[in-house]
Amino acid sequence: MGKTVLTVDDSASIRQMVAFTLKSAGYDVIEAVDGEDGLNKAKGKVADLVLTDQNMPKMDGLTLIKSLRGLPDYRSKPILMLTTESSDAMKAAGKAAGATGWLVKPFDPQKLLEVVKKVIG
Amino acid sequence: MSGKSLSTKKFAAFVIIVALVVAVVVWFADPVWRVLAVAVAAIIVVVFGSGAGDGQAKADSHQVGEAPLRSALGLLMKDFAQEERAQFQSSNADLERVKDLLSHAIQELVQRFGEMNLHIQSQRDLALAIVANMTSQEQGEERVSFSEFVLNTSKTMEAFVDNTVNTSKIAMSLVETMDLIDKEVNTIINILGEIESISKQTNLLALNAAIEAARAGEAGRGFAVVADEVRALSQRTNHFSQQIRTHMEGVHTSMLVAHDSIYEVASLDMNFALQSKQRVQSTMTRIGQINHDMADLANQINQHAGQVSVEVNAAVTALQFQDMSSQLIDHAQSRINNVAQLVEVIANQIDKSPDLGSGLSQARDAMRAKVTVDSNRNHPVKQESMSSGDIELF
Repeated sequence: MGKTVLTVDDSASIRQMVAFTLKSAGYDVIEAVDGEDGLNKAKGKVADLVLTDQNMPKMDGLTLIKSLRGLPDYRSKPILMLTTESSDAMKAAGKAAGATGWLVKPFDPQKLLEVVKKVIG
Repeated sequence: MSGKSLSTKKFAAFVIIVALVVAVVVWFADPVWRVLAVAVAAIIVVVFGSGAGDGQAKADSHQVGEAPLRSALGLLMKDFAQEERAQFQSSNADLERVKDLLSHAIQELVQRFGEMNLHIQSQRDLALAIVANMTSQEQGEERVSFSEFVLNTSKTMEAFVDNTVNTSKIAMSLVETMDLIDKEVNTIINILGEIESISKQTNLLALNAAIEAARAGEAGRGFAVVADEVRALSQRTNHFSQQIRTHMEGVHTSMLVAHDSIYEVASLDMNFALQSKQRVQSTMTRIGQINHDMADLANQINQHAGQVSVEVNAAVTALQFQDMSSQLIDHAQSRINNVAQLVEVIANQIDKSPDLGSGLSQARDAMRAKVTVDSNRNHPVKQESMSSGDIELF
């Protein structure tokens, strides 16, 4: 059974591109439309990796990471930010919130796949 | 002081009236210019009205003509705010449509690219499967590679041809041996001639001996018996010699027939076998070349499929412009909304203030406060190109 990746992004096209990239490599992909939806879906099924955007309605990426780190199942799970935000301040905030890594959009599907493989195999 | 103040006041009033006239004229001209002109008029009013107001507010708040001016300005700003709000809502609706259209188009494109990539990969798998089938085939429970099959067939054919050639050589050798045997047979037939000659002479001698024995009379009787026996032996020898000759001549004739047949077979088989060997070698070389060419083609298809994947990845990267554009549009909408709110703030301040001077002054303060808050908002998209972004693992 393939490993599960939860992708959280308010952009349907980005979710589609992430799903297309990861599914073609054999991963199961769960999609969530914002931080709140991501938190609910993360509780529903424990993902091996969470990929989240920063700027989303209802709940942003950093808040989602903080919430997930409060859950026993996600204390040590890798969580990657995938966002257009690229400032050092935002990255530092992400690191402090518990992000495993920071990927700046636009992403290269091949490089995304390499990072995902490196993080969860 | 009062002279200068009066002059400044008159100038400000003049500028405001000119601006209002221009705004009203343009108002009926074109919706886009209407918004722009009213904005310029508003700025002129704020700047000159406020500047004039600072100096005159305390002393001339009761001036005749200010109340109608404030009322006109307040109405204008309200109308402007209302019209501006309508325009901005319309623009927002258009931008939302642009975002929706882009989003749907990009999703469709990503879907198509994904399917195209899948088809190309399937095509590559099929090409590789064809080559795999060409290079291997079922043989019982084992799979034997096609190249092995070609090699085995070639070896079998070579062994068959070698055997045939070897058989031909043996046949030629047999022909030579038969020539030798034939020569021996001829020698034996010649020797038989000698034996027959000896037999004839012996018979003649026995006859002479019998004659001499008869001339000797009684004394020669015994010798005559011996002579007869010798003569009988001579005839039997001659008879056996004739029989041997007959058989040897039969052997000689059969040898000649066998010789000719073997010679003919040996000559024909040798040419056929050599030609067959060349044909088999040529066919196998050709099959091997086809096999090699097919493997090369499959390899090229594989490379093209890999290149298509790279291109699709690049396209997917580039198509993310929609997400960035959408965020930029959101940001632009937010700024447009700020401008709309700004005009409302100014209109409200003018409307609720007791006099024009303080109203304009408060409007400016409120505007500056709002502009400060808005300018501190984070800009979500810093990227200036569509090359893929940085990756950093903490």
